[in-house]
Amino acid sequence: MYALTLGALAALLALALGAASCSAPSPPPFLPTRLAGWSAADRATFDRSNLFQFIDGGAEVYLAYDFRRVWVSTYRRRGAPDIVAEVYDMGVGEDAYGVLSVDPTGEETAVGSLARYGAGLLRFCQGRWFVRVLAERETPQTRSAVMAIGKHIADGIEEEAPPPDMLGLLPSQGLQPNSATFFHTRITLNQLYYLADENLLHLGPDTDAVIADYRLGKGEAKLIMVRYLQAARCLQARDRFRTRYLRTKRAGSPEQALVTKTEGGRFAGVKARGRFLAIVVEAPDARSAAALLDRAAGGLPRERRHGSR
Amino acid sequence: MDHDEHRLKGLTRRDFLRQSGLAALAGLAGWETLAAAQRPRFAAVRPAATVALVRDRGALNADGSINGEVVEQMVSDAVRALTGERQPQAAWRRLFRESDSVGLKFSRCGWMRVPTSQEVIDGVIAGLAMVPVPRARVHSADSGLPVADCTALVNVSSLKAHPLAGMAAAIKNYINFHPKPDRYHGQSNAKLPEVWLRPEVKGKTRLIVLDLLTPYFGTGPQIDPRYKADYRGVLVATDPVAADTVALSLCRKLRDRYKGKPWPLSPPPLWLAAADHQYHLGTADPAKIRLLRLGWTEGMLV
Repeated sequence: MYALTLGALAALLALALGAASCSAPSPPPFLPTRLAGWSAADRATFDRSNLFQFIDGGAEVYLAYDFRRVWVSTYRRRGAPDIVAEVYDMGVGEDAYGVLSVDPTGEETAVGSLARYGAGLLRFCQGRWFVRVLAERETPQTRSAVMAIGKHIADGIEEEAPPPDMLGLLPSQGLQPNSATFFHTRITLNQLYYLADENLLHLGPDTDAVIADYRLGKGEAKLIMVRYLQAARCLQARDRFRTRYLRTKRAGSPEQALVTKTEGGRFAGVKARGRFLAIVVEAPDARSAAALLDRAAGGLPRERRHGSR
Repeated sequence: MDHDEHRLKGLTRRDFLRQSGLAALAGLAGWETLAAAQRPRFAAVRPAATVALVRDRGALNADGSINGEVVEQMVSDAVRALTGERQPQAAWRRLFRESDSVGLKFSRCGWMRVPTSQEVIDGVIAGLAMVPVPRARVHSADSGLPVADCTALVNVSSLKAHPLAGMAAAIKNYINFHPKPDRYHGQSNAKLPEVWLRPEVKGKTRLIVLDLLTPYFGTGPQIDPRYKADYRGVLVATDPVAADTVALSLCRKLRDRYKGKPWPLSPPPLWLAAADHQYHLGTADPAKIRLLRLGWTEGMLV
């Protein structure tokens, strides 16, 4: 149904190769040169300084994580659609998982630690690596080749990484499957749920956060949980959210769930505990919003007052 | 700083839902109550802007390739409907003169792989030939267009959801007319329409053509083919804000249809509200827009 503009991609790859041929590191050994009848025709690599040459206008989404470098390889086979493999070194396993979880949907498939497939695109993470393998057009043949290339790459990555520990803090009651995203900054949050054009929650590369969908009675809500380096910054974020978003003068105790009615008859609330902030938005009623905040806070680990990460 | 500019700074989601002017945009992005979503739209009796949307089942072949002849006819039909002229030549002459030097700004968008289809560009070039604008004075490019030398511009863009700007269509298509386009990404995307006021650009755009053959409505930054719609449409307008307002409504409805439940667009296209209220490039108010629907109506959504 869709077609890649492979001429443009090839030109881009050639440009990148020309610009970086002297200093670019070798591609990782697990990136195949030939597999299932497809052969690597073009290769390029981009780092944080020039990722925009590859993803003009969208590089910020990767730069919001600990992205280090991507290798891009186009595979060709006579008479068959092209296949493009992109292998991202995301620095740490949590961030490889995070980029994948920006869209947690798709057919779950057994490649790497966690994989999703749909309409010719395989996405998976393994260790600190996030991988995309995309067929120009999905056919039984290209699906088989995409899987073969993906498995070859995954099998060649020896490192393992557990999923972000923040996911384990999400209360299980009402949690919707395949709805949780791990992230750090406002760019990712606003892509998933726009709160404000300012950095209302004091998010940054050093904050760990997760957002997920919950079923609350007959309604739904979103739960956002953030872990800060210091409790003081958490309290600042809580206060800013209270005044700028909840628009209430009631300061209250940070550890008490504070909930207000917002536009459209929905409810939003906040609760802080130590370095952790929990926020509920789009809840159908005040009681269920407060209950979800309490469940979220109840599952948080006990920390010393000035505990380190 | 005028009042409207002030309103577009320091916004929260709640501001979108409560401020007049922004509430309509929030509704189009999908942030609204169900009752509001049912309101009829784009049916202005005395419209500030008219938009023509043509769809044809034959625009795509069975293998997904584009049928150039059908698409050229769609472009012609849309321009005739927009201008109210029965004859194609008369329609194109309402918009362009033989003496014009015309720049066609399309979107290559190689990384996202949602480019303007060559067949849509060819349809516009065929229309200009009817004026006739000599082919030597028709310039077609994504970057490097001799904008200053052009007396008229045609904005020929694709439609895609965008992770930083919310959506990219006609207004964002001009982003690389600025030497530092990345300044408009992220938080400052509300300033995007100011590109249209650059001296070499201002007032030259005679026609907007949106390639809606296979619009992209999903997450980014890179394409996920699950989210590429088989829509088979072409949209034309002279008001870029009205064109993008209809496109926003379509994009959001494609998302809702895919998920089977509301899938609001995020982040909001702040630039669309700014294009209307701050830069006065056109109207983003669905109640002031008249949408002419032609051709294949099944699954039209808007």
